[in-house]
Amino acid sequence: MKQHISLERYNNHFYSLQPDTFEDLRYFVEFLSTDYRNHDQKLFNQAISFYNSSFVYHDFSHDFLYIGFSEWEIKTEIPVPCDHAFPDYVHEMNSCKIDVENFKNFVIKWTTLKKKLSPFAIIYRNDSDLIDCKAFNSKEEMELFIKNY
Amino acid sequence: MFGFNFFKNKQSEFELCSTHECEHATRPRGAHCNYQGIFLQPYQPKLLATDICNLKDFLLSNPSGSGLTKLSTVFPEEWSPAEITTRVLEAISSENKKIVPMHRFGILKIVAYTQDQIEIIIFYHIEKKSLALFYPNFQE
Repeated sequence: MKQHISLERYNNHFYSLQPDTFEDLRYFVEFLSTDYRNHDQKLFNQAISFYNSSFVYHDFSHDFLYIGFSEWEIKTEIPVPCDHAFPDYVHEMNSCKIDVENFKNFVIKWTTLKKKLSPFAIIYRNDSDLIDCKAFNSKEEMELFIKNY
Repeated sequence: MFGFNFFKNKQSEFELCSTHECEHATRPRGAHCNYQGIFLQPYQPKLLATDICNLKDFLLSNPSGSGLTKLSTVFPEEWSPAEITTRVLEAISSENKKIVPMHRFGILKIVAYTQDQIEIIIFYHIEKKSLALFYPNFQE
């Protein structure tokens, strides 16, 4: 796998076990933990969607979503970028780039995974650059999977 | 101590972009308190969903009529700004919480619970030692 984030369940959501790494997948994890809604369709239909502390930019010409953290929500000195400026604002360092089809497949799997109530999970980018997830019943099991991948 | 952008849009209700020296309207920010159902009226709130704890997701619009929106999860309407602050401080002081550092942004993300088990997301600014943002976490 190219990248991974180990996660631990805390009640209804999963949070990162790797606090010091902030690779692009982390933006995705943050979005899933507080801002993603199963019924949300607007991120597929609109170029820009703002949430509590995340944003999603949909690049329709290449069918990619860029999911990032809305830094202006925590720092009032940072201006909110307007929609005209947004395509220039977004890049692969301040957001997680994911193919739209990959996102749709991922959230189906993620929703099922969450229902299983497993205490650990990883979100990872596989060798084909697709983002995937897997649940585990123990931290050791998760670490073994990562080691043997 | 607190930046109150989570209660009301701190800047002008017609906040303009200054990133590219343009004067385009921007999407709302903050705005998680809707005390007595009136605090968010300038944003023409549209109810999107209600969760199992009776928390509500609203779609808020920039008051300029530009159609620029943001999803905001809102504290119960009977909670005043002072009550929200009190409950957040109670939650953050309790033992039942999870702390996730986000060093890139100089903040801690804290997941904590009020006494009536409402999950709250709190962003704590490490250097300023202040609360940067807090809002209730919608449960699906």
